[in-house]
Amino acid sequence: MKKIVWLASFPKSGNTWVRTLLTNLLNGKQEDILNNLVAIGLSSREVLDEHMMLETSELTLREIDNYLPMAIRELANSIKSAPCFLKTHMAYTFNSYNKPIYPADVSIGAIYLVRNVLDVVVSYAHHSNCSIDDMISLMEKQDYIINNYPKDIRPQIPQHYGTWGQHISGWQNQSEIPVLFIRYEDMLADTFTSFKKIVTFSGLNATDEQLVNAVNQSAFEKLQRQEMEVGFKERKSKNALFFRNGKSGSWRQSLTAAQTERIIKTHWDAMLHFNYIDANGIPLY
Amino acid sequence: MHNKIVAEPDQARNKYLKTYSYYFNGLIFISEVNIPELEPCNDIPESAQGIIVNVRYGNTPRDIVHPVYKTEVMQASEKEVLIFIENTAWYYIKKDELVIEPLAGAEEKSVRLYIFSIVLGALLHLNNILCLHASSIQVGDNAILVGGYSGAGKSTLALGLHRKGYQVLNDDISSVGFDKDGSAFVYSGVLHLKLWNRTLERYGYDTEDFSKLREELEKYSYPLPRDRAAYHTPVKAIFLLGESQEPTTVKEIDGLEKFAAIRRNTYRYKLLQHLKKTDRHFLSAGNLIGKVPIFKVNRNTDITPADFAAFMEEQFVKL
Repeated sequence: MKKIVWLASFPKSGNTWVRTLLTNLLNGKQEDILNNLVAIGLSSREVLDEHMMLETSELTLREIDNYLPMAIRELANSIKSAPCFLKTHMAYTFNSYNKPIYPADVSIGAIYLVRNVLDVVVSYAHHSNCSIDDMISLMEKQDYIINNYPKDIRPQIPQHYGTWGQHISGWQNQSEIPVLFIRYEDMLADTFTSFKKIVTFSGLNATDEQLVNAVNQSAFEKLQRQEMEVGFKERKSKNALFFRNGKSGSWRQSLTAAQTERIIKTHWDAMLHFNYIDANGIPLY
Repeated sequence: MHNKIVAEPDQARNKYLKTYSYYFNGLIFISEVNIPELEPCNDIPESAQGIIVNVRYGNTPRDIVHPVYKTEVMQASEKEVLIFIENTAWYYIKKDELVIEPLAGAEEKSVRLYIFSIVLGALLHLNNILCLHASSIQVGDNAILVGGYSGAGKSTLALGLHRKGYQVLNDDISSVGFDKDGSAFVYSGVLHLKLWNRTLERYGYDTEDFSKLREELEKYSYPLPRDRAAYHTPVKAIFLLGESQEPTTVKEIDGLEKFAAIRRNTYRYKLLQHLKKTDRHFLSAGNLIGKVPIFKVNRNTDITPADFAAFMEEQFVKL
């Protein structure tokens, strides 16, 4: 039975914001919304170990990918009611048996959140506490894998990201799971309309009043204030706020002309497809 | 997907095959498989009673009749469990029996590695022994259990405490039994720590001095001394590890939160559900939380392993 709605995105593309919107809609009366968000992460070693019945820390990346569809099916079996939202940053890839890691037979659909890569680079560099040039290089790597062994273990399993453009095209080029693409910039411009699309796509019933309420409760300034007051357990760096800026176009204050040109050249197709640049490569956001 | 079988047919096995015996988490393995990571039980005291499990190489079934649970990795009925690990082995498990069928080309140490994790978990669940995802350390005459998900730092902490002179009773999985008066004790287990190269390097070790758990992983077997003082060690407290950006804190939990913590830290609780043994687990967990304090530790992610071991030592002194 199909139960899972994937909240898929490259990191720093609005995934957590959508989770706060959904949490405020579904569990709005709960205290400390920020630290009790819906949509657990697919990458959680704790969750996968339990459903795989194996220690992912004792498996190679190839083996983990081979077992992932089974673990996701088992996770779906354990879910009592649909839709169940699961957050993922893993690219849509195929394992060594040539099976997609995301099994369509338990997936209702995927909401794919896209954000201008120029802003993603800046935000992700802050989040990862690395230089912008290093982040640009990482996001150009076709074999970009985070949390990869062999040195150490993290609470999240190793995950294939690939380049920013590959990450998007992986979901675009498959036809097994229906996908709703939502641009971060459109969410910023009209949160209500984007959120309504997400809710409708997911098969949830909600009145406009409920949606407006969830949108108001999930305003960026509110989330930032909550993070400063009570903390956010998903924050990676102790130095930087998770809800740091949230605006569109702030790359203009952070990227040099050379960096901007390099990013546009690398991710041209996807940037053009989602109208982040015009046909001449001029940034539109 | 399944490799060719290489184990000899049962009927052709040499009846004079060498037999080993090991003490392992409340089980006594009578084994034709040499498992150097386990404690030989030639001179085990009578007080260290255990459930006898016969361990051998052989052909396993490919299916379990009327399974209540079936995936690519595991099939289970209420009395038997069959596990398949690609490129490694089949494991057929009953309360008192473990049959291992290695696959062609499988590394011997990889085949053994799963005995210390999911195979052990299945054996303990089938034998109604409470099985926690925790390491355990001997402190004085008692044991402290340190629980947490994979990657929480259980083994790293165990290494830090071992270097301070503490005896490590278990790595990763601790099985808990109860005396007649209901007091909880922990059985001692595997004689190594499973450590990543970064952990060894941070303590100044050269990884070349240790054996890899699997050739493809930079995870090593750190041998633990064999001079054990006790097979059953009373449980004094349980600490559950988590991570935080904030300074490291320790907080005792109580009531239902304690019960939820035991359930969450039960090794493969899902398997227990499939084996229909949750009622028994409920009683054991209730017994445990009635006798033993549980603390949640939020470890600052920047604290060094040595400093964290010192911090935990201070907590043990306070008990």
